[in-house]
Amino acid sequence: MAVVGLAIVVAGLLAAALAPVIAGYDPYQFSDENYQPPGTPGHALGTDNFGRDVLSRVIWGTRVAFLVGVVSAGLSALIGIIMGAIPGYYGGYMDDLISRFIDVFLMIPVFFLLILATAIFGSNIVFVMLAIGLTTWPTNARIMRSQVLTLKQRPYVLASIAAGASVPRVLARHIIPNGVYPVIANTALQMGSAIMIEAGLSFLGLGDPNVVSWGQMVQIGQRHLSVGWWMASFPGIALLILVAAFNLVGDGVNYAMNPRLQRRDRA
Amino acid sequence: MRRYMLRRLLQMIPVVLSVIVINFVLIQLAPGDVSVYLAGQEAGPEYIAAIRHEYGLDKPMIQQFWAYFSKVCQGDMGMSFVYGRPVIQVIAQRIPATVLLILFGIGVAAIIGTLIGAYSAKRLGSPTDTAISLLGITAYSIPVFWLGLMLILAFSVTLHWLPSSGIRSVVLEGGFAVRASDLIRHLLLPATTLGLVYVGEYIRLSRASVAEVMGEDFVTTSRAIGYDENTIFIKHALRNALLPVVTIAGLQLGFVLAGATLTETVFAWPGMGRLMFDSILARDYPLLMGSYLIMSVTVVLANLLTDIVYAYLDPRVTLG
Repeated sequence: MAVVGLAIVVAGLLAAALAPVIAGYDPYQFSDENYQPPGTPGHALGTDNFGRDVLSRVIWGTRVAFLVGVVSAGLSALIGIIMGAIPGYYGGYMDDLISRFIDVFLMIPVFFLLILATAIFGSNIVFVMLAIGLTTWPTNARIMRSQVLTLKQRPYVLASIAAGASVPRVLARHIIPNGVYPVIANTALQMGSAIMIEAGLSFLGLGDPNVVSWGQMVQIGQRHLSVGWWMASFPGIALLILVAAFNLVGDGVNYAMNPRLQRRDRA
Repeated sequence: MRRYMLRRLLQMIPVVLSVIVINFVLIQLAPGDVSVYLAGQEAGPEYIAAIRHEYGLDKPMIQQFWAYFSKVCQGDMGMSFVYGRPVIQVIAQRIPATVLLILFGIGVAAIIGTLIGAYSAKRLGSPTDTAISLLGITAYSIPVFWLGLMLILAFSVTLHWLPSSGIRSVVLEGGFAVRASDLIRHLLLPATTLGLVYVGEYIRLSRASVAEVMGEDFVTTSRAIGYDENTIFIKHALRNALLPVVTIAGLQLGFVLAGATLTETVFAWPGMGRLMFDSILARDYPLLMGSYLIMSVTVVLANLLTDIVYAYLDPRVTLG
């Protein structure tokens, strides 16, 4: 199933990269042919209230979805690895302090914090992506830290330290590369959830008006539900498929790395 | 037990404090005049002057924080300028609708999801199991607001069976039975929306949990003794697997409230989430920040309560 997920992600990535080529219309182009139902010649998924082609907008929306997923989850992974690996390696009161901070942060509901932040600072897409990344890293840090705690006792790491390797070298060469897989699995899951969070914010009217995002398309479609069901339906389906794909990939990576799960399923 | 509870209560303090600090910092960093966020955009000059004095906005930052902090601790979160009433009162009025939605939606989802997950775990690796897992992941990946719209499209716009918004009909006459059935008719779509999305989560959890218990030594022993497979399943596996399922319901209240907020927005359900959406639209900052505070503190409290219940239910948890 993870392979199916990966295939969908790759297909989505292609659609995002080739959006100008495969989308038949400019996603912002108004036309007189508004509210055309799906199946209308030239508009496979119909047109919206301004006569914009829904299929082209869904394809262009892939770009924003991937941008949000990659930037937010990437930032979260980067900060998480650093904030997990370094304190975990050194230990001491710095580690205690950061662990406490992470514990506290994990209890605070992120979605509402993001609502408040975007309502106050504006809904620029760059800000939204950074904000998601800056609020979701603690899970990664916790995962990374527990990896570091076990890895730093391994003979090859101890040997490397005994041989006089510097701390950055030990971390970068031995510990992080060997302990990063659970973070990668979590990052795949976080890509899906970042896309979902952005869509949720957009649906609440906190999306960036200058980009084509699926969440916003659903929000606009809501107002035209009785005259154009397709306006809200298709971007939502796209959202569902891509998020499910990321979840499948994340689960797959987790499964591949966790012999306990595999043994359980063979039993 | 009492010492454990006390310790957990004390651990809550830094969390609640952080939430208040985040609120304060966000206001301070926000573009424009701080008084706008405390008093609301449409406040008159006199009210702004009063607010500036009340919060000590001309004083140093530490004193400002103290003024804000002591007010919040007294439950004073300012006035909502849309409603013209204290924020805390406006929010309190909206709590029952949200509680009703969550209890109904998540409650049903938890029961159904747990049973499906357990069933799936009993047939681990079979095509049925694979299908159920895939279904669970799909359900979990549904954008909740989109699902709400699709249900409205099917049951309200097309079939005209159920109302698409609100909590009661505008014109309604009759006794308790009429009112109750009207409420249920309004509740059905939003609760289904919220429940369907989270049922996937419960399927995953319960499947993993039951599968793990079924691999434990005591289950193997029971089999060797010759107990009936169904007895083992119900008496041992299911009972032990329920624990994490119960726990997660509390730990995930943050996600559930986020889902409820989006669901309430779709269905104009008069709960805290819809209130938050309305306060975003109206730029009613005092109300928005008050909602954030209340939601966060609720989630923290739920975490605490879950931990205590868990410790109470699971004798293996050592209370330090």
